[in-house]
Amino acid sequence: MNESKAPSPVVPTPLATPLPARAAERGRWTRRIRGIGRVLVAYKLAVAGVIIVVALAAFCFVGPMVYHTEQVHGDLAAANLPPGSPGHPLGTDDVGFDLLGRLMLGGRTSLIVGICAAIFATLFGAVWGAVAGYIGGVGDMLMMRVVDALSPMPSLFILIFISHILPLNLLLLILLVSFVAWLGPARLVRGESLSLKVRDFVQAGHTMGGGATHAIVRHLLPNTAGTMLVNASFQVADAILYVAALSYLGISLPPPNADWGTMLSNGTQFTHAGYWWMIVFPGAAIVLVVMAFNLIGEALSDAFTTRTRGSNV
Amino acid sequence: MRSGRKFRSAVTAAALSIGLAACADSPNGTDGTVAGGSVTIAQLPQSAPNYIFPFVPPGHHTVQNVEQFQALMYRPLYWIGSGNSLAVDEELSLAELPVWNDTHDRVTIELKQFSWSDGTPLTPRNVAFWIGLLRAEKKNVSYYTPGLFPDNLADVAYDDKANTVTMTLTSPVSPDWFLYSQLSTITPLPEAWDLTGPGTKGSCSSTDPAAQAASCSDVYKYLSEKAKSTATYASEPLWQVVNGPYRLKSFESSGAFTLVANTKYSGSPKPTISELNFVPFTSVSAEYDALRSGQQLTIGYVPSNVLKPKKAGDPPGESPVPGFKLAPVQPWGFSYLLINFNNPTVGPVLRQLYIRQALQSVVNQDLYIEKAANGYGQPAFGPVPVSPESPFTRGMSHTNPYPFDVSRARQLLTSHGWSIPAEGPATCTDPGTGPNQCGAGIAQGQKLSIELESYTGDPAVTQMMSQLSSDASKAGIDIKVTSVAPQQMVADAVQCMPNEPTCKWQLINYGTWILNSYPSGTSLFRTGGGSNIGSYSDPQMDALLAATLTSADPAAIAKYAEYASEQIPVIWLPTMASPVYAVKESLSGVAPISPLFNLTPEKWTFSK
Amino acid sequence: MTGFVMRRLGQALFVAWLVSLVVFVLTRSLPGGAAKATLGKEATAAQIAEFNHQQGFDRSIPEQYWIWISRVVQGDFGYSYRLNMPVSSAIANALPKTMLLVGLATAVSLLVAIPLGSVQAIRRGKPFDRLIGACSFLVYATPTFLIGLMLILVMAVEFQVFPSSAPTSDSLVTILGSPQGMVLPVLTLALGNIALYARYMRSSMSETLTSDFVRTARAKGLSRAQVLARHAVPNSLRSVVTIVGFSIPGLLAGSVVVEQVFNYPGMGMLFWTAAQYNDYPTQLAIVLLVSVATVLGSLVADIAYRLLDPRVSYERV
Repeated sequence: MNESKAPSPVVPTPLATPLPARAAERGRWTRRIRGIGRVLVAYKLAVAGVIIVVALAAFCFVGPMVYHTEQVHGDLAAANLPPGSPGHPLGTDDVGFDLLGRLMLGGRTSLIVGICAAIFATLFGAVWGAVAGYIGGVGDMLMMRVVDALSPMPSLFILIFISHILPLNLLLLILLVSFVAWLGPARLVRGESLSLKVRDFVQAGHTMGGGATHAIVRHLLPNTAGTMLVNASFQVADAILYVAALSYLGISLPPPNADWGTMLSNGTQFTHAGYWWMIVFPGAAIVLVVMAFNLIGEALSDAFTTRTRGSNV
Repeated sequence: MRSGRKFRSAVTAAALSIGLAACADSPNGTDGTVAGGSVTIAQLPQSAPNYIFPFVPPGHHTVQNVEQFQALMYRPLYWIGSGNSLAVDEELSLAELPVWNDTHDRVTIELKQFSWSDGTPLTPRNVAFWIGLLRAEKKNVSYYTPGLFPDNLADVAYDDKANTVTMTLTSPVSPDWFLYSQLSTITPLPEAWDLTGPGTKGSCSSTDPAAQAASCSDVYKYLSEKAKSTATYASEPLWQVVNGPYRLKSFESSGAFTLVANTKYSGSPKPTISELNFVPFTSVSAEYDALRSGQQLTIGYVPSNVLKPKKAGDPPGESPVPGFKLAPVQPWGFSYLLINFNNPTVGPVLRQLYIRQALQSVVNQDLYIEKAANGYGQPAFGPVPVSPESPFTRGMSHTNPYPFDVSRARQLLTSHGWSIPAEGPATCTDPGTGPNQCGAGIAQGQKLSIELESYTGDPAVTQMMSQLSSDASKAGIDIKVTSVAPQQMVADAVQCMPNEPTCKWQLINYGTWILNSYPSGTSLFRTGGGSNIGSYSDPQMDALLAATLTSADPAAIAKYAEYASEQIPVIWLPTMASPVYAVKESLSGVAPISPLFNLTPEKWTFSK
Repeated sequence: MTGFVMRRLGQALFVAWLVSLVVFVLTRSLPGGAAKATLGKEATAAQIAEFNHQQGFDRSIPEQYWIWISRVVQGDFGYSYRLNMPVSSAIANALPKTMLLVGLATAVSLLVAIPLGSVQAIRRGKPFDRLIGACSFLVYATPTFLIGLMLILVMAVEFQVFPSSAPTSDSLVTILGSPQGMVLPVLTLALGNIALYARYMRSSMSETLTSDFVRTARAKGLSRAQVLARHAVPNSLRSVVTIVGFSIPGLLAGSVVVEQVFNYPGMGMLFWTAAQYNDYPTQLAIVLLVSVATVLGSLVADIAYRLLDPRVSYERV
């Protein structure tokens, strides 16, 4: 077991072990990207994951330009039509929107929320953790106390509560999900900063006159990029699932916005009515995209730890 | 066994009582009924009763507390509504119909021969008890409206020998209104409850007002403390003193409770079902899953979106769960969108009648009922439902003055100075107060864009609001729909003045307003009325509403209803049947369930 | 060790207090407040004013907070007007149910995930590993309510093997008396976690299996089973133990959904309806309790972590 790992455990993101020192030393962007590319090629499942994500993104962002449907004004007379109905290959939902078109629109929101929340959370958490790790001492302790204080906050409860006060829009949803998610990256990066800041290249940066910002931005953050990438992949998946759970509890973007989670939980209200298409298609979309991001994350983390494992055995 | 009023009136009282006696005495009657047995009833989601004392505080006056819990144990003085009828049910009432003097300011109520389960008879002191509490603690009871009962009582006299209560009022009233709105709120209370402490008798059930005034507050304190302790509801001996057909056997904090037949019930018919088990549910889908998976339920309910579509107005169709029959309840009320006439931006727009007419004309009631409720609903275009027939709606028009017509909506706008673009909201191009101009307070270029706050949790509502927005846009009316949690919607709907921060709301989907059996509408539409949340004000409406309270004209309600229908103080929406009960085929006597949600389990029987 | 525990307990209280303060201020700043939400649509202005007065809402926010916090430290969590019972009673009724559900789900998850993950690690790369891995992915990617729904449709409605509702009763004894009703809810909550824990176990076990001391043990002649039981599994448990501690917020969140789907009124449902009705006393009490519970949960996990690895020094907090 890697003993330099901080004893305080990280928020569950599977296999997010810190990048060991040797690989970090070697780190330059291009080599890293090539390394990732090699890894992805070696792992067929990861490639499948990437393909799925790209295909879904194309489906959601390019699709509506090709396949035009009315997605703002509903048409109750055409509600609940099964797949195969004229003009509606996947059927319609309960207010009359074409389901295929709605899946595209919903996918945009789901992917945007997932990816943006993951990016916000990872970046903010990484900067927080890097700063805390770098400055050390009292500052570090205070910053990490904040993280520790926020961890046990019953976030779902707070979210339920906030959703009753503020009307939900895209930005607010992203911020709320990031607010829940940034603690993990913060801890991870802080742990790595502690070990990285004593490394030669960081010390060298000091002697050359570089300040704290320079050290953090040019050295610490890039060297944790591997871990961050892994973490971010899982964050996207978790964010999409989280939004789906929230929509089941009624916390979702108002119509005519759509996202897969809301479509799925809306569809479950009609389970016994027999409108299976309202459940199966959004459900499959969620499962696909979450699996895809998990596969990518798994493969990346497998790759980074294989290097070290290989060297021990 | 029992059908409707039609049959009752055709049979003489004697024959009826003989028939009833026969039913009560022969458990395995010749009509194939079975006595005993237990019925398991699914409660509506998050709707477990939590208050047993009939003197309910504000907020606890709910169907699950009053009509479906307390009323089975503690009978109200007058029972309003049974089966399809909204009239007072003389059989189930504890008193004969009230007798008025000529000037309609004095009424005499003769109590029937009835007894409590502790052996004491029903006497005028039981009514005095209630009135005493009402006078002392009116601000703590949900039934109180300032100016009305008991403020409109000049004097109350009790005659033990004649078993009567005589009320003298401060001014003449409409007898129908007084019976249905005021007397119907009285629940006689047993003298066994007249305590200020354990074993310490109070004098709140005294016929002397002075003695009452001295004691009632303390009695209220004692009883309401007891009522706060829900864990003791089943064990507390006070609550076991009942005069209804059932009494409480067990009560759990989860919401599950059991009622057992009161063997000392002095009314009729005597209950044949010996046990009623009420089971709580967290959501409609949880309950329906239970129904579908064969869980032990005798009476459940079905979400309307799983029902086979039927035509509105047709009788209920086949139950999707085998072995059950459907019993939809068409609530005695109406669904509507609240209009905030005091909103600073759109208030002036909404004050224009033609605007409201245009809005009402884009409400496609038939489509909503067909698609959102599968035909289980009825249109509403006024403050009094068109069915079931009520004794007060004689002669009321049954036609919708503003049926769905997008072209009429457009025409209304264009003929009043608005121009409608191909896409987007209409704009006022001819401001002013002339007959063909937009109207007072509407500026040049103002867009016809309105915000509508609706609520989550009901797929039918979401469907309706979406379609409304869609249809309105075809007439150049831009309705932006937002949805919040139902209680948040209720919290947002507050009466306000234009400059207050709480006045930002424009239209709110307020759900279904359940009417009193006497659908007066005073609190809703009178200037300054307690539930006139939108601040609607119209002198003619006020005059018509006053007539419903004081005039003896049987068409008073019809006149007010028709005026409201034309004036559209709120936007009318169809009222969906809710809940749609599913009753096991072997249980009869349940349907039709009263639109006021009363339950009369003493009439239920299992057939072989 | 005691110093560490004391510090973390202090932290728990501090966090709970902070959260309560935030939620308190937020609730009080709601326009419209609790009155209409609790009293319902027919509430008159007079009734609203009376309610606000009785509940103390017409006082200043700091004053209200002081009243509330001084009662809380005495153990009085206030009274829920909507439920017509003291908040502590409502919680006392709901908490054991949630603890039972969450406890059973965690136990089931661990009992299944630890062996599963271990076997996966041992047979890393083989068909068994890939199959379980694929299933794990699938399950983890499915939203909880969908899992619950599918289980109900198949097990309760179609084949009627298990009931679709958990047993309704105040007493845990009665609930445990009909365990078949708990099967589906526990399974729904546990499945996602099984996938998660198994993956942690697998990766942690993989690392352990390739580490030095395992090779040494094998070289010394210990059998495979002995190596697994005495070294591999205990060392790999640490990472699983730590994420169990951190799973508590997730489990509570999941239980909100599961309780709704399976008609099991526990803390999740209590909070959810309290939030809907602006039932502040109940909301605040639950938020407090959940915060404390979560910190304590992570504390227990940390202690377990230390106990399992004596090499980590206690002073390094």
